[in-house]
Amino acid sequence: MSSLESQHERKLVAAAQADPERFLDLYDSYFHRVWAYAIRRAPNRAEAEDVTSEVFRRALENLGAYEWRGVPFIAWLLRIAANVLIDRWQKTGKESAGPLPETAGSHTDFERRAMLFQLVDRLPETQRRVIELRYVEQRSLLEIAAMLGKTEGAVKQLQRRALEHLREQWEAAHG
Amino acid sequence: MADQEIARIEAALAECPSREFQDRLRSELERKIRMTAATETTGVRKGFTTVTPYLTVADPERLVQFVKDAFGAVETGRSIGGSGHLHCEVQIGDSMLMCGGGARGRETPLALHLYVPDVDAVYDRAIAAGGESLRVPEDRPYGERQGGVKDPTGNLWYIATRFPGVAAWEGMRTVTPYLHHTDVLGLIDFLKRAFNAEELGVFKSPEGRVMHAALRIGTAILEMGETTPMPASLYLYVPDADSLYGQALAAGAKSLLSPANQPYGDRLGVVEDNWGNSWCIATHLGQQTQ
Repeated sequence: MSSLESQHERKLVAAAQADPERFLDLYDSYFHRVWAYAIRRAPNRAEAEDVTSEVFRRALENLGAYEWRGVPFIAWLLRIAANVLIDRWQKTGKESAGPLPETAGSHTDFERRAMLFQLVDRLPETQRRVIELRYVEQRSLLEIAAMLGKTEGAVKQLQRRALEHLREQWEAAHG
Repeated sequence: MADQEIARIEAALAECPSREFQDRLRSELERKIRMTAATETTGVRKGFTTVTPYLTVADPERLVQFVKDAFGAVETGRSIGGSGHLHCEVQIGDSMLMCGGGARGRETPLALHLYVPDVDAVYDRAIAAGGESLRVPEDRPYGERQGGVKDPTGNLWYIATRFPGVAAWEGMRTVTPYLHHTDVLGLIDFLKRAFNAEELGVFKSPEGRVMHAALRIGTAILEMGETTPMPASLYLYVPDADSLYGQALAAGAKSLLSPANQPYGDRLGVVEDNWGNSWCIATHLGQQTQ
């Protein structure tokens, strides 16, 4: 993390500690990374949603306890996430159902996926909607066409444009 | 090259979060922040939420004894007013109740939704304490086992235990006031304009009667349903009683008492709405001075 990023992060956290309303800025900044972490370790999407929700609930409650000691805020959030996952595994009686948090995926891989999710969020709305219906909800082009009131060809076109857009941004970010 | 990269992107997209979830969690956090802020705001007495049921009955001593015997209520304070009427505060579970009356004046018994771990046992205790059965505990289609008791001073208690796994409105406490009126939709509209109430849900029968509705005012939940009207009295703790009093009048309420500082440490104004409910709008100024 560059010192500029780290400074920005410190400001965001300090603002939220002083005024809880500002916690939503932290949520907007860190949601995708917490999600990228949770979806890889939870057994399914519904549980990844539960884990992500719990991480932010706990973070909101305990934000006052977070102290800046050169530890990035994301590391603090992911430690909460690891604890949430452990709590859940213990509750369901499953023994370590999945790789241990520290070893799952390389750091860069995780950051890249979080970044991709963020890029999807910033797509023009119709393109974003097509991506979500196609890849998250796994719907067919025909279904999406019916839902959006477009032709199948138009949906295909939107999908291609969105993917191309994502590839460009992704390459610009990672070279 | 580009195709390969796109294939990798497509694979990763399957794990993309849904926008609906992202927005839902954001709203939940926003609500939590707002509720925490509201409880920390000055103006609300410690241990109270925005709305406290105010049970005004002819024999408040009898009422206090009943809630102690039936529901294990704990008396947290009492005082006798200048006109000789008793004001008593009790806690049931995590909820505060005000009980008053005993002097001349209007009686406003309330209906209250009470959640307990074992409805059957509490129902039996309520009957033994002098309550009259409205209905014996039974499993209800809306996710709880519920029985009803009318206490000796006229308040209705809907005693319930939620089925396991049934979620409650966020902010639901042990006791929730339950308003009965004929025009619930009109009342909801008034409460939105007067007290910034937020509608949580309205459930209608096929004929269009409002069977059940829930609202949030500040940190408290209020329930209502359409049946024989039962005007209620409720005590609000808010950061700025004067401004909310003005807002309530603008929304169509009539004034019963202009805001003034009271000897017990509240600044209080009282209004009555078109449904006959009276709303004590208070800001707690500090320690009780009496």
